Amino acid sequence: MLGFAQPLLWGGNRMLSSAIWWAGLMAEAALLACAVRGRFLARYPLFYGYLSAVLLRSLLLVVIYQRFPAAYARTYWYSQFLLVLLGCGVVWEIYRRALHQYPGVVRMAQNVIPFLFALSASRVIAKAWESPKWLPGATTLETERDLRIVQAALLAGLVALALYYAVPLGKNLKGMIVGYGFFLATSLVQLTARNNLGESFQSAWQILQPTSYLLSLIFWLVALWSYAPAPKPQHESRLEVDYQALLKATRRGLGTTRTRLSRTIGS
Amino acid sequence: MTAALITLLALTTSVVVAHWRTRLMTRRLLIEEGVARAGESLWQGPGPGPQSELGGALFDSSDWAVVRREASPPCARRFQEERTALALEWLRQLRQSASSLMSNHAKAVRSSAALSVSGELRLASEFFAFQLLTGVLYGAVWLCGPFHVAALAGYSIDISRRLKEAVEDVLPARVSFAGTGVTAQPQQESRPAAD
Repeated sequence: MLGFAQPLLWGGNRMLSSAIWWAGLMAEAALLACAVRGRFLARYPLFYGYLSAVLLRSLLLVVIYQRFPAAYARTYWYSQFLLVLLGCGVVWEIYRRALHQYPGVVRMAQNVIPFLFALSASRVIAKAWESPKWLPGATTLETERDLRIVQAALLAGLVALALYYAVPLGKNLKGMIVGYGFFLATSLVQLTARNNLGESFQSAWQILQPTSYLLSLIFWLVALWSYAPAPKPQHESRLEVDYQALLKATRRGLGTTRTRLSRTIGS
Repeated sequence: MTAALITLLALTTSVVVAHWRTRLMTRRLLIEEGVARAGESLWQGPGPGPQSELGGALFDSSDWAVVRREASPPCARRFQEERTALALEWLRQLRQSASSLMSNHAKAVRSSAALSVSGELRLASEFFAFQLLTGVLYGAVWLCGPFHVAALAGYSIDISRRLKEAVEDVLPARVSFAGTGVTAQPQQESRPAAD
């Protein structure tokens, strides 16, 4: 996320951080402006809701930093957790928009995604249960990282399903996935490094974090410049597919290929 | 931790580079020999994927035994290189035919509301197990050549068959669970469908 040029930075680094911060603000505003101009803001309400929240939070942080500097760190972390929760909305938006035309894939996702959620969230819940503060991590950094792992697991599951079933996504959704996936991946690496390396990584992190978010914004800006939804299925939805017959035929085909291999190698 | 990551990265990169190099070499060799033109499938015949007769001939070591005995070492080495290239191409196309089968299946069922989650998971696990097996075989053929791999596979199949026979000899044909009236029979060997 974008944090206003913080007191730990000095000289050139502080200028660079401010430049990245301003560029990020402009990119966020441009994204929202594109959606308003193209009248597709309502098509992706959760995604644009998240983006608006990030923009508002960035502006709010400037005011707080200038008027109440002592409250800056506390506000930053509380709003950060709010944004992590809103980020789940982006994953939900991708799920809803990508798969809703494919009932078979939706059915698969309804079974696989809760399993992935339970798998990744159980660690967070167990850690929160043991913690006296009801926070999963020993530090706020660790907590954010754990929550980002849950988001990354869900997004990875969705992408795997979309790839496996060759679901056409369209430019907008592809951009959302690439941008948010990149942001999650870089966040996980940076949060782990910050947590393990401590203060020595702080100044690098204050540049790396907004830079990687800025790159995500650029991905989004390219993909969401205009409205390009996922293409509608051509004829398959109108076909009454005998699923069991198809499954049997594919398994038979795979069995034949396997037999061919075992006969050839084992002969 | 960092050292382990760097080692893993280096290992992955070298495997990818080696695989890419082998693919290039295989294609070049096959095109040089006039066996195939660039981008063309090597195999002809009905049905998807390479035919088993051709595959059997590629992995058969009887030619290799004659060549090793009669031909000069450079000639024998060239023979082995060409056979390895053909065997690798055969395996690659077998993998490709399984992948296209699965891709067609996925496209056909993605809109079906009757999709069975357990059926799909089972099919996916069978497919990934097949891909893993052919991947391991690909690596083994690349490292040792097709003749050694076929001999090793034949040997392991023979051992598992003998082990099965031994188990069947030791265990009674029908095991009765005392007091329950339930009997268990040894499973019939399930034979996959013939080509």
